[in-house]
Amino acid sequence: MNSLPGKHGWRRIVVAAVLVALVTIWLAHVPLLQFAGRWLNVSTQLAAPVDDVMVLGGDLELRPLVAASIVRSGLARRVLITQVVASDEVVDGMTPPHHEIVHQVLLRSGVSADAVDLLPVIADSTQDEARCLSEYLASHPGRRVAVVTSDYHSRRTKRVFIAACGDRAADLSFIGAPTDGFAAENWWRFEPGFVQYVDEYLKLFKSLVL
Amino acid sequence: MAGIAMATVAFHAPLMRAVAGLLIVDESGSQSPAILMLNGDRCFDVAAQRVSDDEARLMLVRGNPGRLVKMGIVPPADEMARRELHKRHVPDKAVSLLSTSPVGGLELPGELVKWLLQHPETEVDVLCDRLSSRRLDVLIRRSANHDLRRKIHIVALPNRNYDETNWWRSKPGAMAVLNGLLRLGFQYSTAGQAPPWVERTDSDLEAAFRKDPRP
Repeated sequence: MNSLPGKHGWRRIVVAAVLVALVTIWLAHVPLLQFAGRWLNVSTQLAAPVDDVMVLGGDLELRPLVAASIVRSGLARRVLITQVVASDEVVDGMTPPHHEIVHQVLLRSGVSADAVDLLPVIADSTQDEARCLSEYLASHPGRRVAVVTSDYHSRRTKRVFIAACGDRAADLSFIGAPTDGFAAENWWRFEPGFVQYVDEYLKLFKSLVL
Repeated sequence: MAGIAMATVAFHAPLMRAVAGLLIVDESGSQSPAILMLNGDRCFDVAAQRVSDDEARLMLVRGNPGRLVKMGIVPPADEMARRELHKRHVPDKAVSLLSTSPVGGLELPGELVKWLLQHPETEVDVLCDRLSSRRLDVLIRRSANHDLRRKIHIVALPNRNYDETNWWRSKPGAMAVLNGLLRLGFQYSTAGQAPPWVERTDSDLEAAFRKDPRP
């Protein structure tokens, strides 16, 4: 006797399974989205002082403020900043270049001018910044560096920097700056949070595939 | 399957144009007597030309001051806009603020509606970034009824480096379309209500790198 469901029976089972899955996802969407947000953050706190703090481009406010706070706390001596490809507003002379704004944030947050180094690379991506630090570490062996980026950007940053710096990556720490407005717990409720977290997943996917 | 793949490759340009077209609402050409300047590449040039050609009245938006403004590193956006317009010989008397109090992004359509109700005889052109124009249309339609919406004309300004015909050929173009789709999708999926925006404190910043941040 054949006890397997017929064609219509299988269809009902598949439809029921899809419905159960959708209801489960809907009921659990908040913890699932929070987990997705937290998964991107692999940053750690500083267990010991470092020599330099590198501020990654892409955020003009909280990343430099965290770097300044690290220096003020005596956990680092110098801040490394990169130049970023100029936007149209910078080209038109309407706003100062990215690195100049970061420099000003650092100075106004208590970092002395001679503690800031502008790295000689114009970066267009996290990969460019990782290559830049790799070259810096090659010419400054033994330096311990804390890389400051946004918390949701730390997983991809860590992956890219470890790939670029190889053995020297052992002396790197990855610090996750918070963002104003949203965090891993509520990112999907804010337009900028939604855009940045989804962007980050897409870029992470691209970095894994390509 | 192979046929679909080949067709996609062969017709990728019209497909890509159609994708970016989803983001665009362009109602240029109305020559309204008032212009609201929001954003968009070379918006100051376009606005200055309209003041020169049509004696249009310009309105700016005073946004909530961000950290860089509060720290005195960059001027508020409306001050920067006045400076740029001044460079383009726009007289000060042609420029005013939409609202004297700071206006957040989601509050902007409501303020524009208020202004139109106070000026029932006029229409307004809104200058904005081309790939954000449908998002702006969605926001405006939430606040403006059909009659008021007809008085608002969105002027979708293209970027100098890319537009809907070639965005996939450059990284900034691809990022602009991707972010435009995400922002538009977000607005379609929400009712326009955002939770309160919380600014991080010094102790939040310290908690990022210190195990026992000072209170």
